[in-house]
Amino acid sequence: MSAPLLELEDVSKEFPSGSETLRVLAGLDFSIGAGEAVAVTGPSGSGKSTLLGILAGLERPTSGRVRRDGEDATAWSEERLALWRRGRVGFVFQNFRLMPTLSALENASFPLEMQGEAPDAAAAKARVLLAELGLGARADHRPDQLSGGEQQRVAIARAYAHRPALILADEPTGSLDRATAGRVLDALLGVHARSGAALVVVTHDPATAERMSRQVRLASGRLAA
Amino acid sequence: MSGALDGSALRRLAARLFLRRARTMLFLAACLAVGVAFLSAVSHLLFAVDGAIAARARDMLAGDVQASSSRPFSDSEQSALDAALTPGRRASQSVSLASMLAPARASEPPFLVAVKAVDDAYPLRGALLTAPPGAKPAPGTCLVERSAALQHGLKVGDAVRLGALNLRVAALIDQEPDRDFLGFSFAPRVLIARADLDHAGLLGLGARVRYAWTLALDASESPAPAVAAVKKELSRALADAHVGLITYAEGESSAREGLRRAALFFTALALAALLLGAAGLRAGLALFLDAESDTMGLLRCLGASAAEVERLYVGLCVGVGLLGGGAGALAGWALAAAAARAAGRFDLGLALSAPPRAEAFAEALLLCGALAWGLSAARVRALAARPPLDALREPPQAPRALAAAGWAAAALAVAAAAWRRAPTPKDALLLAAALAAGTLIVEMLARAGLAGAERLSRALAGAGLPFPVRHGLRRLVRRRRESRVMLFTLAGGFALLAAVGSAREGFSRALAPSQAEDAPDLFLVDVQPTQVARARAIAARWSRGEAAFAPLVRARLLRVDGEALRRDAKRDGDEAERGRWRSREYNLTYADAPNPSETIVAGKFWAPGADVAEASLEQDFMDRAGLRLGARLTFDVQGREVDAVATSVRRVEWAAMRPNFFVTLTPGLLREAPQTFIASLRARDPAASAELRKELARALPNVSVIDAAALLATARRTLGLILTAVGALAAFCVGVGALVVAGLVALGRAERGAENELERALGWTEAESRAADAAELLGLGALSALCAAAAGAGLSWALARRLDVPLAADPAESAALLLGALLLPALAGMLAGSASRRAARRP
Repeated sequence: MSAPLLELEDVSKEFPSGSETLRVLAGLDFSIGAGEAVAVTGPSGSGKSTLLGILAGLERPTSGRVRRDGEDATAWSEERLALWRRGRVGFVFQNFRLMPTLSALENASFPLEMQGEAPDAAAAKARVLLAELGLGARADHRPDQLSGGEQQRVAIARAYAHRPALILADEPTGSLDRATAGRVLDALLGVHARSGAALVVVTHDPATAERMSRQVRLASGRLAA
Repeated sequence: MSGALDGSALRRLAARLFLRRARTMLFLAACLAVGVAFLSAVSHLLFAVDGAIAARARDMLAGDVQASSSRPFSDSEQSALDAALTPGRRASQSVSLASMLAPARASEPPFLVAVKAVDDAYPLRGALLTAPPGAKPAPGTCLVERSAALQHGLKVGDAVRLGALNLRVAALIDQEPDRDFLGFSFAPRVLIARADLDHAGLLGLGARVRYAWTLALDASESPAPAVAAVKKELSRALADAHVGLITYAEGESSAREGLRRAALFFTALALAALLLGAAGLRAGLALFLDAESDTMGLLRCLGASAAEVERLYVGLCVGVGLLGGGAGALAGWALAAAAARAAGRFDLGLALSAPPRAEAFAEALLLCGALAWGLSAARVRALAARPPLDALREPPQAPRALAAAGWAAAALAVAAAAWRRAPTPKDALLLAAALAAGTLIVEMLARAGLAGAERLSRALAGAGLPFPVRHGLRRLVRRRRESRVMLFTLAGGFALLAAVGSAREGFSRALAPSQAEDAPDLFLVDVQPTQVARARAIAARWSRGEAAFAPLVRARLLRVDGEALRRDAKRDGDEAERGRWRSREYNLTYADAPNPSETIVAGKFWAPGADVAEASLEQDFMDRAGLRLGARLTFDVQGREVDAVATSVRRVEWAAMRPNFFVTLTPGLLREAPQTFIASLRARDPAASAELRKELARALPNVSVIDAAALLATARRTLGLILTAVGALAAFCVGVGALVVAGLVALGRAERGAENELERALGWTEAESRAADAAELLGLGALSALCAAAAGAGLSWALARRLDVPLAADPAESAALLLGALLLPALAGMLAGSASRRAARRP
């Protein structure tokens, strides 16, 4: 059996808050294998976004160990973490987070260009992906000219454009109405199935969580059984 | 995959961001461009004039070294000068004085001229251009400056009288190599033969004459070391400090220093505009970077390291700076080129051209790049390092060390710009200190104003003001960072404009006594003692009121407190200036009491008839010459030593146009000394003025008449032009303030648009929304007016002290400025804010 894509061992995370210390994650064990789709649920303030940050390498745990692709990555430098994210991770955010001055095509092709792909080639790949997501005719529109659902689909295209091994989605349907949320989730899971990338979705929506192959629940910084 | 982010991808993203945010980038760049444009224009013009001076430096002296004295050279002095005349070198002698030239036609009154009696060798350098060409003064003839000939209807061949000489106009002077720099002269030039001067009857005892001996090096000699050697030798041989010695290089550097001093006000204003713009840039960059913080976080999520994100955005900010610097430098060069072309219409004696200079462009780019980096680097670093997914922590503070380094870089860049342009290190320090103090004061006023506005808005809560108005005022205080910057730039700009207006009014008031109805407008000089009664009678026939006569005794200061004046080539700066003031030729007078235009400000003036050996010093002269109350002064009065102790200090109202002097002695010391008389009077009308001059020319041909009114009018016109140019520059500073207000309002349109949307959603009408905006902007205007008034008052006081003019303000102009300060932010803000309003109205 191959090593998990990502593994957290006894991970805790604390933040200073005035004169006190806020413990957000406490002795958490978590792993995700290649191709898995995992939903992380829990009430507000349970540490879901912090967990996502640690998985992405954007936060360092206060204690515990993190393994990436079988390697102990706890002490990796910022540069190495950035490199790992660039090639291995895609992001989908609740509020889309598209670059407002770039078109849909430019947003989607940007991760490819970051990796050194020529602009034309990157644009061609991104155009194909946007077409698959039903946005072929909107490729040259800016984010402020797209609806919420369209923006989120552009974000999905951006997340998958460079064929990452892992997609992290933070409340991807949180800003959308039910019908649009359903369409966006279909798009996300469709691309996940086609690409074989692992998927971690942070959500408080039970309907979204049920569509993942595994659910974990965070409560008070710990994974509930 | 390589370690670093693909450079071309970063560059493409940077280019896209730059172009897609073009309006923002242009606004940010424009903040710097205005100040840089004026700095660059001053720099180009100074360089153009420097170049023109350097090209003509030897011509401007009509030689390479010159010795001059107000007395004929003694035998030993002449021997020392002749010893410098080695084979290959040439020398020329000349005598200069002021006198009256009387056309033979009775209808034309005599007029004041600057006479120069030259020998055949003149000019040793440069060209004397005449019409007809090639003319030189020969005995019995004279050459007259073309402008004077035109003004007084003189032609080649006309007969004229100069003192006791009857001359014929042989040619008109079109160009004289050693004419006063920039063409500003006391009177038009007349050249005569040296030999003729001895028969003119103009060289009597007490005459104000300048004797000059000029040397030109041999063509084989290297100029710089050779003139330095000649000067060194002559300095040793001519011990008398009253004999002036100057080389062409010294004349050149003296002229350059004078120009830089004159340009200092323009430089100061240009730097002020740059500082105001830099404040706007800083605030604008902060808004821009805050708006980009999401994108920065996203880039980090996508795998860019914090360092790569930092490089991208620092590059953008520096790019904005370079754009501003480049645009400003280009505009500045264009301005300078236009000014140089315009200057060609005036007879400045210099051919000006202002080609574009790579150095000026490079300096502008460096200055603006440093400013943009310094004002943004710390913030970029803080935002780039911010954890993008973290909702629990505040963004980290900008690293203090980097923030301090950034400020230091920005301050150093501005200080370096000031240093390069100031004439002396002392002026550079003064300029830097003035800018720093001004910046600090205006910033503190802005902060105090906002703090006061906050208290006021709370106090007004229960005062029954409509809620939209109260909300608008609260907004002003809540957007503290932007409000402070807008206040700073507006108050700074208007304060500068107020100070320039105050200086103009101060000069006007200082000169007002000269414009009084019965203020003297003519001076009679070189009146011999035996001619006083006759001159008084002639004056009485044509003047309004009685002419005021005063004795004038030519003298030299030999010793101060027993220490002899010595020539010291090692002196420079203030010490050299003091030396020059002490070793000048003095016009002494004697009197029993101060005249009506003098006020004793220190010490005690002697009682009438007192038998004491005392002197009274004019205040400004005393400071410049480094003298003090109680100093013992020893004068050489036409070969006789006279001692006097300085017992009082006078302030003189020079604009009263009375005969006034730097040094007044007790009558007993000078009554018997060789002397002439000087008088001031008011002619009844222009026709009487002409008749007075004609009658004097006939009866007393040695007496010169100076038309003080005409001189003052020229001085006032020149001053007016300079103050207008300075005022225009100050107005540009106000323009920078308006630009900053409009730009910051536009940059904040996302936030304002969201607020407008919310207000609409909550049920506000368009009118209520506009009322809130108006309250915010008028509140800003009111604060600007208050801060501008306070800062302007302080700046006006400082300027009045520096320029030595009364502190004054035109009430109408001041009211207009305050009204402008009140309304301009509202106008600029409303125009810029209408865009956010349109966005809010979109479905």
